[in-house]
Amino acid sequence: MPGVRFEAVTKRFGETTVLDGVDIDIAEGELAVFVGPSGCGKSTLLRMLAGLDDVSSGRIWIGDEVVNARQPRERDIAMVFQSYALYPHLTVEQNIGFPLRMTGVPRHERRRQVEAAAALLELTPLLDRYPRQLSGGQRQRVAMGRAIVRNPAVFLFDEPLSNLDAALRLQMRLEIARLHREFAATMIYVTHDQVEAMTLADRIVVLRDGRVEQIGTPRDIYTAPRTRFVASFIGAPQMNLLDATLIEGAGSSTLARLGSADVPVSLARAAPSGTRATLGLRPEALVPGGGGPFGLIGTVRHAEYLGSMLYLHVSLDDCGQTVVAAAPPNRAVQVGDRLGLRFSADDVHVFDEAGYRISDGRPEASPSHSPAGQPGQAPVGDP
Amino acid sequence: MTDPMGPWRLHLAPFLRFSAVCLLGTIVLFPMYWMLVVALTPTGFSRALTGFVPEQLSFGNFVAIFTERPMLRWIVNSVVVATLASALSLLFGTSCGYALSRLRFRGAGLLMMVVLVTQMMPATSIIVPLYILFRDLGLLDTVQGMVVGHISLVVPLAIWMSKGFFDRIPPDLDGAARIDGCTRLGAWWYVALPLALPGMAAIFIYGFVTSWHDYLFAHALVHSQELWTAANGIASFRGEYFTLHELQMAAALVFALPVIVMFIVMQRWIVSGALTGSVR
Amino acid sequence: MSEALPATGSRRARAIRSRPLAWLTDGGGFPLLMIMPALLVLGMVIGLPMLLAGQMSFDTINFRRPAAAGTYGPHNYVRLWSDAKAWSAVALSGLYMAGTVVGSIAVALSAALLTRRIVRFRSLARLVFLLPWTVPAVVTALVWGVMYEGNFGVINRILEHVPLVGGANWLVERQTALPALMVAQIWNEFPMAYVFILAGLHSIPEDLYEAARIDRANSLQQFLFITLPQLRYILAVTVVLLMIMGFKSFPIIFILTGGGPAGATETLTVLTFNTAFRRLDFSYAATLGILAVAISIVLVVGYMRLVARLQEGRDGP
Repeated sequence: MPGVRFEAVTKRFGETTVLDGVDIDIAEGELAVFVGPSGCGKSTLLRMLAGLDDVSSGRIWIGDEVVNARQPRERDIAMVFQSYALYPHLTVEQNIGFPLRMTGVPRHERRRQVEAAAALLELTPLLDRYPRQLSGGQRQRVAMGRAIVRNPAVFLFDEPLSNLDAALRLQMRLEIARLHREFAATMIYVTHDQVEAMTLADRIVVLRDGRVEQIGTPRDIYTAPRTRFVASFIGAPQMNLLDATLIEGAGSSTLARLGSADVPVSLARAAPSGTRATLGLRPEALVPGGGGPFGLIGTVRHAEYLGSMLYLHVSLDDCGQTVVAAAPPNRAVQVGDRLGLRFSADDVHVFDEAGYRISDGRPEASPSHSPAGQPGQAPVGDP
Repeated sequence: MTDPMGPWRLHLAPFLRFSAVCLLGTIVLFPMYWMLVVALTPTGFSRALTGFVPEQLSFGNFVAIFTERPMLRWIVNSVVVATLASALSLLFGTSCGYALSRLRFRGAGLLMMVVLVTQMMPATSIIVPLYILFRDLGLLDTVQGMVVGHISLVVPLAIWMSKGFFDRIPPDLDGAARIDGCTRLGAWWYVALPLALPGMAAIFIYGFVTSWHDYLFAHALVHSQELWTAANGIASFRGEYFTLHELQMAAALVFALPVIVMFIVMQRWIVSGALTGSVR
Repeated sequence: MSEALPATGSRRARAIRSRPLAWLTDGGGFPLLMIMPALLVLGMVIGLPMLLAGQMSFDTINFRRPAAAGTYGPHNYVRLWSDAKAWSAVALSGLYMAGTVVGSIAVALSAALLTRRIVRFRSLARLVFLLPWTVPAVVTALVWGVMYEGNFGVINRILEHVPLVGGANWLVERQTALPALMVAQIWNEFPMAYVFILAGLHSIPEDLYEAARIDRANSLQQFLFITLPQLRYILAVTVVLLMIMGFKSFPIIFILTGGGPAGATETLTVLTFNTAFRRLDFSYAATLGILAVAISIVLVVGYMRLVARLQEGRDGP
């Protein structure tokens, strides 16, 4: 099972640069999820890996071979498309068996392998149907069957669940996770849905405007987002972002002045007094009436009851900004109530004006990302 | 319901519209109806008609055109020429339609333009040099020559229409096929082409009808009466039996009827095909 | 997949041998492979004749003066420049185009608006307005020829009963010949415009009309402020296609009048044909043919621009 490596991969369509020097290293057997808003280049990246789009510059490796010049059929990959791309004129059996037929697998052997794949995906009773006679979920499973029957080196998924309803999406997500365990194959999964990214990924690659924002495990990405964009993109409801000014406190500590409160923050590198910064606080870090050492006071403007959770939109007295706080669902709060929110200094993320994380937290000592709009500074691959 | 004018107000507009449709429809249908009436009137009697229905029914005109003129021979010629021209055009044109629909290559825009111009320019521009060319090649007055001539009419049509049909097939299918082990050629052969098959049938029929209807090539490239196509044959009736309208109309009816009947049977299909590549 | 790594000698040899083939079937040569058949055929049946036409237009191929062949020069173009007959043919073609376009659009638009929301006999009504499309031009010519007949044609018989309008020998009189031909052409080709306009009407969202009715727009206002603007591009495309069809038109004119009376209906296509096959001056006919191609290129460029704008309008906001 080979891994996959993107090396300074760039894609241009005429004048526009869709991907700009992307470096990603995916280990053997890993399930990597490319996530980002639409237009960030994640699907183009996948299509280039599949060989369906040309690479403008840079190299793509599968295992120890550069595949830039290889045709899709020579790359030993399988792909599940957002549209499923089932062949409408072939039955389910012929659809699943198509890759085998094209590689010259004899008929009886083909039959055996198709049946095995169909059994795995509970498609056996549908083998004689045509795609138009199937439901969305069934089509999705046929597309997966066509991928696994190949037993390819790398599986590619291009937003495979976005055409399904919520219940089926959950079910298929579990199915894909199960397949990943059973096949232990390298898988690359593209989605714009952060829940799919968080639940499926061994590692997440966050993309934005054709550049890699951060690569890391779901936990890394959530607990130590490297940029303000990643912080706001991952997590629902979004992380609260508040404008603040950094000041030097006693000793070597730094304080962030947020309205009337001074919050001690630990920074990876020193910042002079007066530096403007953005503080990030996840909703669940803001506890109404909780026991944290620091507090913000505001008025409840809106309450969203979700059953398992109660989200409170609170406009702060100090700075007038609105934050979202997560409260236990049984808490009695009414719009207009005054509320104190407590938090601890460990939960504060600090980003500089360019949007880069400067608070200590955990990993990534040196940002491997060149700020947008600064050409010439080649991005360095993820360690 | 208490308003006594209510029902009137409700029904007047549709009634007016219905009447207008009927009137316009009658005017549009009349020439075809009149062709039928004159064709069924005994030879020489249509000038005596005073009403709008045939006074005596007769099939003598139909017998006459088949016995006194080689109408059957002409029809057979037309069928042979149209089948060959349309099938060969399809054979040569389809892959080009796919290339224009899917592939980015240098000169694609120019090729599209050339195809369109050849389809849209008057055939009289091509017939003059083609006549001289065929005279030198000994293709004048032959069935092969006429087939080649009609191919020049139908190939641009086949390219343009098949591009339209391939445009409707999702490109993801080609991508999937190539990942599944097909070459580019294989993706076309195993996936795109089978899916475009109904479209190919439509193009064949279009090409057939184009060739069947053609008058210019048939008239200019062939002189011998036994090699005429039906279009040329029935046009000759106007000169031959200038005053014998009944024979003219009988021949016209025989010539037009197969296409009309086919159209009625496959109306929906053909109309959607006509829109392919132009507005859809 | 294994052939991706040419490990052994024989495998490498095979890979090299099959490279040109692979280039065609799976590489950069694939577009070439796909367009080659059509390119060859187009080159033979259209490219070669057009080149020949270019050559002929500088030659003197006239079957009445066979000895003149081989005399090269721009004389045909000089002659064209000052040939009143040729420019009158271009003008007649323009007139014919204009007349058939206006007539076809008028009939097609009325028919489409009338049958648009029809409920009962819907497909029958549509069939009626599509049917003339299926009639060959040759048959159209014959049928209208019979109906236009001066002495006992059915049109004159009907007009006898209409006050103030007299009969005429439609195809023989100078003033009536061209309009009479246009009517036959309109009858034959308006269904195409009908199909396009009907498709255009059906693509107008119904809620636009509902909104207009809520705003108390009457039928005329709805037509002027919703239907027409929404149909703008499709009408434009239809007009260009009809122009092209009118410009190409040959069999109806040729069979019914042959260009007569006294050149009153000799459009560019008919003049080209007559110059070659009646006056046997093939070189000058080729020159006229090239003029016609130049005009159709202008029309096609207009058509392609319009289609591009139409698609832009569809995809854009």
